[in-house]
Amino acid sequence: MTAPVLLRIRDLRTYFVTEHGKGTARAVDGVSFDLYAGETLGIVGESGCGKTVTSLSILRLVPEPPGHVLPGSLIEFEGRNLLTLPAPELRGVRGNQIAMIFQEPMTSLNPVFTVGNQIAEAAIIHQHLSRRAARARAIDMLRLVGIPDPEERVDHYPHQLSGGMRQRVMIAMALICHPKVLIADEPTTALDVTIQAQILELLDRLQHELGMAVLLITHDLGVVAGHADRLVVMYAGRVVETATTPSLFARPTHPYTEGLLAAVPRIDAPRARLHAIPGQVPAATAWPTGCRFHPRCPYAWEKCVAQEPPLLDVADEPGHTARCWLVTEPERRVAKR
Amino acid sequence: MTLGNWLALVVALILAAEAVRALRHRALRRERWRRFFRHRTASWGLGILTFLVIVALAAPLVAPFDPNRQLDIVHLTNQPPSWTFLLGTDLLSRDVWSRAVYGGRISLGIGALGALVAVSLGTLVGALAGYYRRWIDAVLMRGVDVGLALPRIFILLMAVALWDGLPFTALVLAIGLTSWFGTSRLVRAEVLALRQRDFVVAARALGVGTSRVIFRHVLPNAAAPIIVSAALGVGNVLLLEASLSFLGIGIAPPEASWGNMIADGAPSIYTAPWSTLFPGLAIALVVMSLNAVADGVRDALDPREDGGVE
Amino acid sequence: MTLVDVRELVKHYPGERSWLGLGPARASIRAVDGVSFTIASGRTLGLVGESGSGKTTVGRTMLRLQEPTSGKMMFDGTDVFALDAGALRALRRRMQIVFQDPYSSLNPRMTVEETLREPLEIHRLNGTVAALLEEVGLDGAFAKRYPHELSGGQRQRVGIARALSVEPVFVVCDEPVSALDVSVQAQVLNLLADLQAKRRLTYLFIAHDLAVVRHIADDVAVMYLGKLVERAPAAEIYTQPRHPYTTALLSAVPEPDPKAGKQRIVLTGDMPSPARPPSGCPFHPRCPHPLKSERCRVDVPPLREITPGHPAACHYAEQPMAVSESRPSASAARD
Repeated sequence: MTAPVLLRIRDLRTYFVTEHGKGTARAVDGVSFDLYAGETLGIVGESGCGKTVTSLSILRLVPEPPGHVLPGSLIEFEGRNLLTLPAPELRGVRGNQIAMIFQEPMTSLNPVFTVGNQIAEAAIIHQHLSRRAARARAIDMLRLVGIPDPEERVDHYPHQLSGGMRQRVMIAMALICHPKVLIADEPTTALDVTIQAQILELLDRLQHELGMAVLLITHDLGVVAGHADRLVVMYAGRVVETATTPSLFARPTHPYTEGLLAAVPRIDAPRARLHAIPGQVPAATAWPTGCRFHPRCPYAWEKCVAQEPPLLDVADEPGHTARCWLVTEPERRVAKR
Repeated sequence: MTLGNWLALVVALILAAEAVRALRHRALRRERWRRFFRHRTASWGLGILTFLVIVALAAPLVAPFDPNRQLDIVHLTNQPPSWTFLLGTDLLSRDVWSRAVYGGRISLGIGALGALVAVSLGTLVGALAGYYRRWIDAVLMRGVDVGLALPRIFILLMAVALWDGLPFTALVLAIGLTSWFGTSRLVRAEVLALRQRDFVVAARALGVGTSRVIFRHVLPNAAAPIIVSAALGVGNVLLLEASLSFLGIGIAPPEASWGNMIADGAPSIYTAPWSTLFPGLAIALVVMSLNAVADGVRDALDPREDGGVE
Repeated sequence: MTLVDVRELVKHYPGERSWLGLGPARASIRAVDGVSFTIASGRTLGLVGESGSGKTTVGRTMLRLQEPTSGKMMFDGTDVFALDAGALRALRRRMQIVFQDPYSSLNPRMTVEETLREPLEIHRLNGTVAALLEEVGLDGAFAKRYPHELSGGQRQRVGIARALSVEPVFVVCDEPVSALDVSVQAQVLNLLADLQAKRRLTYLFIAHDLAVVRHIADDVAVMYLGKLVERAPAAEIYTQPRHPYTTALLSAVPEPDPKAGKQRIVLTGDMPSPARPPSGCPFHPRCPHPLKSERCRVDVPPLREITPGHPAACHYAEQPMAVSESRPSASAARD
């Protein structure tokens, strides 16, 4: 990759204090990855893997009690450590250089303000535009995100818009200051599949036009297959596999990734039983010892129970790493169950 | 105050503290009640209320004198608090402490029973209106609107005039029957929301009968506003009773209630403040404790199901 | 043998009334606008559509959890809509429903055991809670737990157990896996398939995810804005869709395969409001079919058999469009 590194995450740990002696929930437990300018990095995982907490941690949006980011974590944006940035400077980054959109547009938009008002707010705060200028910008943004009749829509309230439109409004809000990084946390999960296609196409186009990097967080492997350049797979608070998208799908190395791909229902497959990963995601207060996936892994052996593997480079595939002992001992890949 | 009285008082204090501690211990197992006890004020409120109730119930043990007995009309009127008369004497030389304790029985009793009547009626009406909707809802809610518009004091005044003084039961009913309107609105709102929830629909799909759906599925999940309503309701009824008795249309003398004690002591409030002060403090204490408990209950029952973040 | 026969099911919600409830009603919301289909015993019909299509309303109205506006629902020869309350109660045992949201489908104040025991007691059945839990793959220890102590997948299993407790023959599965993660989804789908084989159940499987439906349905019906626009056996609808909406829907599903590089039809606009459906064919404003014409705007296309067993509601169903043929303004190529 010759593009510069925009965001460097190293050893991020975000823990939550739970009530009454259930222990600490180690939601994100040592996550590291890089985000390069102009690329779309997909973070894939299911509930309980820590992907949303990771994204919230980047902008320090994790509620301070009960959560806290441990010292020793590093989140570096263009050379500055976001975790130690004083509050006014952090606010200058949020919404301005790094923006975020969320899953549920209805609860992410304030119902008592017009959409124009909400979109313009970021411009007023960060770029000190006058109300009039900001409103004009808001109309431009609405047009950019493909909302018809933007001059009229700018004065509408969130409840007057459909789900797809609200998501577009959120995108407009996020992009009005032309941020360098857009964090999209499950942006299409709550939308119908045809609207999802529209929104994903919009994000592709905008990324191209504005030259920004996108951190796309989702559990939907189909979405990342078509829209992400590189992928990070998370499980139990850790990164378990990283690769370019074609590599990951062609050669899923970690058994969890393998299981996930096998569990996805496909349109082109004939009607058959789906392969399900046995068991369920463990609780964040009690991660298994050794490799965290071993209780559910069809290939696990003694070493997996005893020692947690580090991220190992997969042979012949630069940039492809997996947290699995099978990388060094591939002959063990024999299904036991 | 005899030694026996002091002893009884201390025992009551210990019992109350132990009761709260025991409850707290049992409660720790369920997350919900842990939240309640996390409120220091709620625990204290619960403790104070328990103590007051025990004292009221154990009145004969704790009160040295007959509450209505005039001890010495010549020498012992308006005596300040002392070791013999813990809270002093009033203008008719009656022991304020004994009157306060027995008066507590009356006042707390009316408070609790009146609130019970009000909350039960309010819940029933609200549940029916919210569950059946359409014309039942319209009729019942218009009735509630009328009820909310009625001036309560005047109705009670009328009742007193008609019945020539109100005995305990009548007073409880009169207050209860005029205090349920707000609760019904709250309950109706909860029920309206709950009836759409999938588990209620599931119950209907399984063939569960209507009354069972309402009492087993809907109302237990509407408990929060009902319980809070009840806790606050007791306070309101208490204050209402005090006002009525103060005005002379509540509990009739010589029977003691905190309200009429305040009335009796009012003329001598500068020279002998204790006969007004202590019943007044008692009312304030009870109302504050109830509010604290209501706060705790509201938090405890708040459906914060999703505590985890992913 | 046909178990379920829905005929011209209509469900309209009256629009808001003006003048504080005393004026004339505004346009009604035509959630379901004349839907008919049959399901043979032991088979699964997948009912697919997006939000606003009316599919959930169909499921609930069929069981009379909401009262239909008109139509007939013949269940094993009896018209469910014509029954009185008592007879309906008796019939309720045979038709059950599994809900989408595992978080609100269980009473938070009742333990799993209480939830499952209730239907057994009401109908005086012989089954046990333990047997039900085992059947859905849950350990007996779960009986004493409350819903908030269970994961989404586990709650969904309890919901399924509850539906099965009264021994139904027909189960409406209302998006039962939409709220679950991929791996849990696979587990629950497999469970539903196993239970169908074991208990010889008939399913109406409502979903918005065509890929999920592929794995469980024998036949698939597609709904748009309250109407059925196409129906066919599963294998056929995925390979030879006849209605442009179906084609668009199929192409919009993201494939977990980066090499797919498929051409995607991206529909413009949103689904219109069911209170103001377009004239003529409800899909015409967004339709990317190259042969779309004035006729589409004026005439409502009837649902007619294009090939045997495969009806579709499109004037040009005999010349279905291929993805590459769709009109330029509504398509987007990806790599």
